Amino acid sequence: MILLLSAVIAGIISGLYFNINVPENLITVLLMFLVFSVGVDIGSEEKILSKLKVNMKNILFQSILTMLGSLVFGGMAIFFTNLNLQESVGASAGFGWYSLSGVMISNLYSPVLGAISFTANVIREVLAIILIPLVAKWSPLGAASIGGATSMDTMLGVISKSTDKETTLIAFGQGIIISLSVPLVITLIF
Amino acid sequence: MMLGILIAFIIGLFIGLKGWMKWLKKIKPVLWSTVLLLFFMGYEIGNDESLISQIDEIGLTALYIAVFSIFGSILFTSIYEKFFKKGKSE
Repeated sequence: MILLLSAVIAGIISGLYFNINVPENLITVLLMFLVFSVGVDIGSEEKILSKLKVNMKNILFQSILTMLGSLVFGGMAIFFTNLNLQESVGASAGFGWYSLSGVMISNLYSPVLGAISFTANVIREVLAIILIPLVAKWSPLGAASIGGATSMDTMLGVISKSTDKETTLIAFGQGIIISLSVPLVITLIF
Repeated sequence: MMLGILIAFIIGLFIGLKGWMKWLKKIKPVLWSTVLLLFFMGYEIGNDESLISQIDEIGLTALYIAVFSIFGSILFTSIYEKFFKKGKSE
């Protein structure tokens, strides 16, 4: 956990002081390598295919409830901020996918709300690093839901470390379904 | 990119099912690729001048959004897990 948070902070600091060109392909290769490694890990689990079959319904409910929970409660930010309901629900609709939600909302609505959504989803990911291991102790699926769309990539490692392989599988499925839904939900809101 | 990730996962799953590449776990690939990805995420934020300049105004708003949406997600999914989830294979 401390290692992961240090990585974020080291990244921010070097971003402030250095200008390097991060090749887009490097990120993609890293993501694919990460997901591949988790795949090998899950695949080595016994009877994993029958577990996947059993868990199809769980993956679907998990994805829908994660999104509903984020949107319904994200909307409650209207009581504490200057945002209206459309704006606060919309900013929540990235479900952790900061890059896409930030860009989409900037284009569809306003750059300021885009920046808010970007930051909110970055914060979600940073909080996820801290909260997933804690929440996993009493609710593994609750822990997986924190990652939102990132449960299939960056947060997958954290989830697989904090929970069992079955939950990791559900988390990966949740990440896929939510990632596919983000563009759709944002378009529907704005 | 989504498709690429999905394919990478399925290939990994296949290799895992076959019981190949057992040595992979020893080099902690998941941990180190996560560290690098988070580093680059941080870099993207630190390098975004317009974001850094208005962080005071938007930071708190963003924090509220993040905390509330995380809370809602945990609440809904944990209720499902405790009362409705089926298919525990143990």
